[in-house]
Amino acid sequence: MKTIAEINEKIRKGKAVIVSAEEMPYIVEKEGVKKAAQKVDIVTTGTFGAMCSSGAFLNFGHADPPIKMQKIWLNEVEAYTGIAAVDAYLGATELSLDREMNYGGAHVIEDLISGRSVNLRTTAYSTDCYPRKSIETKITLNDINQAFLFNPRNCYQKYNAAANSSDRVLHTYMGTLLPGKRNVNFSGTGELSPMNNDPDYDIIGFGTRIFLGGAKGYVIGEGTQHNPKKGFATISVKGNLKEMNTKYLKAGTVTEYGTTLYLGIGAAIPVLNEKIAGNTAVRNKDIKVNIYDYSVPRLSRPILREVDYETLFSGEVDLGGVKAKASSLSSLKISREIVKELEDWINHKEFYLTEKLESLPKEVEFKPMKLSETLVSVSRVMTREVVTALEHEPIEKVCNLMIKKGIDQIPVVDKNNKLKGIVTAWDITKATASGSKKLADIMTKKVITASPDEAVDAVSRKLEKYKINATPVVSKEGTVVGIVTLSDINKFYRRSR
Amino acid sequence: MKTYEITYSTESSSEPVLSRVILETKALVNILKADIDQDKGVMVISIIGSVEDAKRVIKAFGKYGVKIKKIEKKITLDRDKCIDCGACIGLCPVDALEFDKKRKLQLYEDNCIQCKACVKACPMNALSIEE
Repeated sequence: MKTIAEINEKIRKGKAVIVSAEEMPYIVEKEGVKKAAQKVDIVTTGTFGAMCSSGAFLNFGHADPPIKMQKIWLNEVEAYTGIAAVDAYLGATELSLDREMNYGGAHVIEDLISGRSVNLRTTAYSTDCYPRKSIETKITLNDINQAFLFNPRNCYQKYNAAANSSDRVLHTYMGTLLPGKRNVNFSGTGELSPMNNDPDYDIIGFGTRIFLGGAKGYVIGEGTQHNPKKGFATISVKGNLKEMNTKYLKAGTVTEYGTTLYLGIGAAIPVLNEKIAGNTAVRNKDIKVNIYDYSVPRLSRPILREVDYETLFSGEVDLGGVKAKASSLSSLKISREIVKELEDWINHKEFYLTEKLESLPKEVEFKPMKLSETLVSVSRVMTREVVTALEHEPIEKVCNLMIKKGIDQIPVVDKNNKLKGIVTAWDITKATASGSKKLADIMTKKVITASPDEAVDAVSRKLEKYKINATPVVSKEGTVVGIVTLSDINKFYRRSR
Repeated sequence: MKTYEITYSTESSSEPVLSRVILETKALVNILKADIDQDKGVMVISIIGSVEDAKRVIKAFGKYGVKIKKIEKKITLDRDKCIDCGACIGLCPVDALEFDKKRKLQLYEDNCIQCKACVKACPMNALSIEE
C-alpha cells in the first residue's frame, strides 16, 4: 500500500518509477501483481482522437461604450452568449456561416491557440447600462481575459466500432464507411486509454489533474452520457487554452459530417495497491467493443460482432467471411507522445498527482430521448397502389403509362413483383435518343430503396442525398409494396406541423 | 505500379478497343477506374508486366485512336498536418497507405491510383493530389 502523498514525495526526490500503460502488462506478467505494485509508482495513460463534445468559454472584456452581447460570431462561427455581457461559449462542432464544414468552432479554438487573429462580430439590444448595439473587431488569445477549454464529454473509456452492410458509401461521425462491410472504423487507444486503466474509477474522479491539450487540466466531474454500467465512462474536463499547444489540439473535418476537435488527454495513475496494478495491466485483447452496422439509421443499430482492440489494431477484422480493413480515428502515435510528455513532466517535477475529491458515479443510466410522438414509418406515408412495369415490356408502353398516370418513374419488377430496377422519364428520353428498345437495357438496376419500417426522416434524407424524387418501398422478400415520393414526404411534414 | 489514363473519343467509344488491345497484345490490364458517359470515356488502367508489354499496349491503343498517357500526378502527404490516425488506411483500395511499426503513417506513392478516397476522408486535409 502506498499513498498519493508518498508518491508525490518520490516525484519531489526524483525517485518515482514511471511506466506507460503499454509496458505495465509485461511487468505484471513477468513479476506478478504484488511485485509490480511495489516497484511501479505511476502508470501513464493517454489518448488522442476526435472529441466532438468540446468547446471553450471566452471572456472578451468590456468595450467602451459597453455592450451586452446577444449574438456573437468568431470568424463567422456562432458562439452562445446567453451568459452575462461579454462571456461566450464556443462549441467545437458549430459550423461557420461562410465556409460550412471546412471551418467550425474547433478551427477557431485552434486558430486562437496558434496566435492567429480572429474576427469578432457581435450584435445586441441596448440598455441604459449597455448602450452599444454592435461591434466588429479582431482579437487574439492574448487580447482576451479568460479562455478555458471546457468540455462536457471527453475521453470515452472505449467506443463502439462501425461498419456498413449496405451497398452505398456512408459518411458518418465514425468516418467514411465503405459498402459491403469492407472497412471497420474505430476510436480510442485500448490499453493506453486513461479510463480503461481505471475501470472502477479508483483514481480518476472530480478534481483529478490531467494532461489536457498540452497543458495541465482537471477532471471536473463525470461527462455527459457517462454510462458506467456498460463500461462507457466519460469525463468532463477543464483547462487553460492559453497554455495549450496545437500539437495536442487540432481542428478537423469528418467528411460530410462536420467539424470536430482532435484532443489529447493523459492521466497518471498512481499504483497505490495490487488492485490498481492489476487494473493497469489491462491488455488490448481484454478490451472488447461491438461493431455496429451503421447502414441502419436508427438509435439501436444491429451488432455485426464483438471485437477486441488487439484485433482492431491488427488492421483487419473478419466480418462473416469478409476481411474488413480496420482503421482508427484516433492516433496511437500521438497518444504515445502524450504518455511520454506526461512522464517528462513528472520527471521534471512539473506535474504532481492529486487525490480525487469525489468518485465518478457508478450507478447512473444513459437514457434515450423522451419523445412526445411515436416514430412514423414510411409505410404510413407511402402510396400502396404502385404502377410497375415488367422487364420485357416495350418502352413505348411504359412511356404511355407514365403520361396516363402522370408519374415520372416506374419500378420495374419480375412476374413475382420482385424489384429489378427503376426507370425514369429521363431514362426514356435517353433511350429515345440512343434508339434502345428494351426496358431492361435502360433501367437503373442498382435502385435506392426504402423498407416499410424505415423512419420517414431517414427516407427523406436518402432522397436528398441521392437527389431523387421517389424510392420504391421493398419488403424483406424483395417485393415492391409501395412507392414514396418527395411530395408524399412533404405532405406528411406539412400535416405534422 | 505503372498507371495510365486512357481517353476514348466519341468515335472510338462504340468499338471494343480495350478487348482488342488485350487480345492482340495478350497483356494483363487491370481497370482501376472508369468514368464513361455520352461525351467522354476516361479509364485508369495499370499494365501488369514488363516495360516491353507496356510499350506494346500503348502502341495498340494508339492504333485504335485511343489516347493513352502515363499518370505522373502524385499524391502528397503533408507531414505537418498528418496526425497518424489512419482514417485513410481502410479506404485505400491498393495499400498505398499503411502504418509502420511505430504507428506512423507511410505513403507508398507508386501504388496510388489517384482515386482520392483518402483525400476526401482525411480530417486534417493532409493528403492532396495535384490537378
